[in-house]
Amino acid sequence: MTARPSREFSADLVRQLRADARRMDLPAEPDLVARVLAALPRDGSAPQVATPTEPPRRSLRWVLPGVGLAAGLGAALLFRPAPAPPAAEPPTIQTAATPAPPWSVPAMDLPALVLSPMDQELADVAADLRGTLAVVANALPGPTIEVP
Amino acid sequence: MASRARTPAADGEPGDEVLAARAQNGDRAAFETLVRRFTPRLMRFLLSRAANRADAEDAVQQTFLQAYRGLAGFDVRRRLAPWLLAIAARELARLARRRPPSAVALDGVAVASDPPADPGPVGLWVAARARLNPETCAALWLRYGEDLAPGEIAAILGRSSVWVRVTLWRALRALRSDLADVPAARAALVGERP
Repeated sequence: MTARPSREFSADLVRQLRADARRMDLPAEPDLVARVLAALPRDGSAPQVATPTEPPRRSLRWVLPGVGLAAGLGAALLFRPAPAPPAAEPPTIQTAATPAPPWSVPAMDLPALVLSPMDQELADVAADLRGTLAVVANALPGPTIEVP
Repeated sequence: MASRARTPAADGEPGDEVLAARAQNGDRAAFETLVRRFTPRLMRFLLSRAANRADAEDAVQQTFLQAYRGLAGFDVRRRLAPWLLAIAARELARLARRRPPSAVALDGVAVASDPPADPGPVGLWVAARARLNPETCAALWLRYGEDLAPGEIAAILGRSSVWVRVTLWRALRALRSDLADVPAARAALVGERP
């Protein structure tokens, strides 16, 4: 006979496992049964207590910090400082003068209005560059260069 | 195997779930019948996992106490065996957590204080016990010794159903490869003639 395929071998293995399980001795354990029966409650009532899948009970190590936290919060609420009485008059804040709105600027000051601070800075930088360029250019040998 | 999972009554005895229903209604004798019926099965399961026989016995006792207290919540349309086995596994784990660390000699070698728990695997179960780790062996036993479904085994062992299926497949493969190395065992198993 040739060797059987492994799938059939597995089926035989499972069959043999089941057969061997049936052959395994399961002693009646009379002493243990008596011990268990003696340990059962004898009040005669139907079992009505929680299922064995009850959630784990909270241990004291979690309850105590919780109680402490609650007590702390309560004390903080009880002894919190009294709110300060409202000031008679709110302090006034001095702010810088706001620029005049465009419609209030006289027509003669229009260029100043158009030239924004950024433009002013750029103009200053350009003037600096111009001066620097003139110094550098005139330091070189040769004819004098006019920088506009 | 006449399915162990739903112990019925070949000789006219009521099934597990019938007895559980009676016990729910206060029939103490029905619960005592369940104790007698399931104690050997629970012991067989627990002995393969417990450190010693005393732990297995304590776990059996706690299992029945928990079952008695929680019987009101048991759905009798379901099977009783997986429910009891799940309680048993949990009680054994609880005992193991309470147990102090095993005695260790000064040179670091563990001291074997208790004899091996399970006295008598038979046939292929000897090889399974020697080859597989206890949890895999327990899964194998629950599948082929107790005829439980992978989902029920998963609930008992606290694993996923996929884990159970993969573990069973690997266990069978390991046993198969071991047996394939022994031609006589293979021949005896599959009925081949050399």
